[in-house]
Amino acid sequence: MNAGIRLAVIALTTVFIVSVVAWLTSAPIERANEQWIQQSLNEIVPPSLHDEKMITHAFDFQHSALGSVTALRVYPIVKDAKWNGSVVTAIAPDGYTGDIALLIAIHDNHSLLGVRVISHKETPGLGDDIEIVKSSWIKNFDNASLTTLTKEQWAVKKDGGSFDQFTGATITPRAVVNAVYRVLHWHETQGLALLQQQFQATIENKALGR
Amino acid sequence: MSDQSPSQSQHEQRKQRWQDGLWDRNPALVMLLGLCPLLAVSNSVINGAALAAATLFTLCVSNTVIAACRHYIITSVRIPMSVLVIAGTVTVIEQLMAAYAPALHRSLGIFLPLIVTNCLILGRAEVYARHHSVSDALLDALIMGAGFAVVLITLGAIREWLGTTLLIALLPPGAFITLGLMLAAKNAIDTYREKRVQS
Repeated sequence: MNAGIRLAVIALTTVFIVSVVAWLTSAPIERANEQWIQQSLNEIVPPSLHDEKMITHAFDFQHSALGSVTALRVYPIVKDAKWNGSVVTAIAPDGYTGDIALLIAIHDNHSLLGVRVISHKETPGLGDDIEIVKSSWIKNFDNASLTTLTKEQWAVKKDGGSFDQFTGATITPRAVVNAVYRVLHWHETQGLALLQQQFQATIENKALGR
Repeated sequence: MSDQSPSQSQHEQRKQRWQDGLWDRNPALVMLLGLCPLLAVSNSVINGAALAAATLFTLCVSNTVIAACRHYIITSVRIPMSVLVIAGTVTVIEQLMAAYAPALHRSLGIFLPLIVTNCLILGRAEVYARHHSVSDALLDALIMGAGFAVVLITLGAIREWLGTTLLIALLPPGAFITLGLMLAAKNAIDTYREKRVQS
């Protein structure tokens, strides 16, 4: 009985401390995440194309081509109220250990500005070369498009394409290449129009809200 | 003379404790504690060093808290009590790191929460911190954490270096093989030193 009470006191104290820390850190964590996304956006989108803070124009958007059933963040690349393209969040669902979340920046002319990995659970030391801090592999996507590479070239070298796989890890780069190809294809066929439509709707909603 | 000898012996004792922790009774090489995270993250020096630092810090906090509460802790429920303290500490560290060192938090990923499962930390709480004063328990945490860190960083360095030519060094079997070779090397050195002392 006594032991139970003492254990409960320790448990409640721990819960209390963890809750306080979680409450205190939630705002800084959100800020750190936003800062990191902003930093990645600045890396892949040249400043000549966008206004000061891209993250402020963001809206949520859902489409099966982006690899998720829930809405994901889209960051429109806007300069002086003119649409130059967009950075979409997309999921590669077929990584070696689950989802790989990507930021894919696509210019209005359907060519890629760049790609960055924002989260993944791939094997450290093998599959994590998709991260810009580990290797420059992800830069292979810069300026690529469906016209610079044929459908067959949008694959890892092992599958006859033009993208390197990693030593000991083929599934991870294959998943990323497939996801980027899928999103580019969607962008060219219907995505661009849908995104612009949603962007206009968001602006109008904001105007009405004011 | 009389007031010099106790401080002398205390100094000697402290030196012996450091030697025990870093070599003679090294937590990873001799007691074989905490091998799960040790093997999991030792594929590069930077991973090893970051996790070693996080483990050392967790060990210090948990040893200190448990030593401070040692009169409150009841033997029959000491394990759940210790686990609560350790899990709470690790969660707090993880939250703080996500907030104030996001880059480090991202690179450690899944291994940070796994510190909870490191039996080295529970082991020190159980055999040492529970019976000693806060300052003694903190010193113990520093020594044991340092001993663990040395092995983790060395293993990380060897595997990263071997991994450039020998892929298996980076894979799980490579971790076991490399650690096995390190154990063998330590035993060989000990045997050699013993023989030299005898002859």
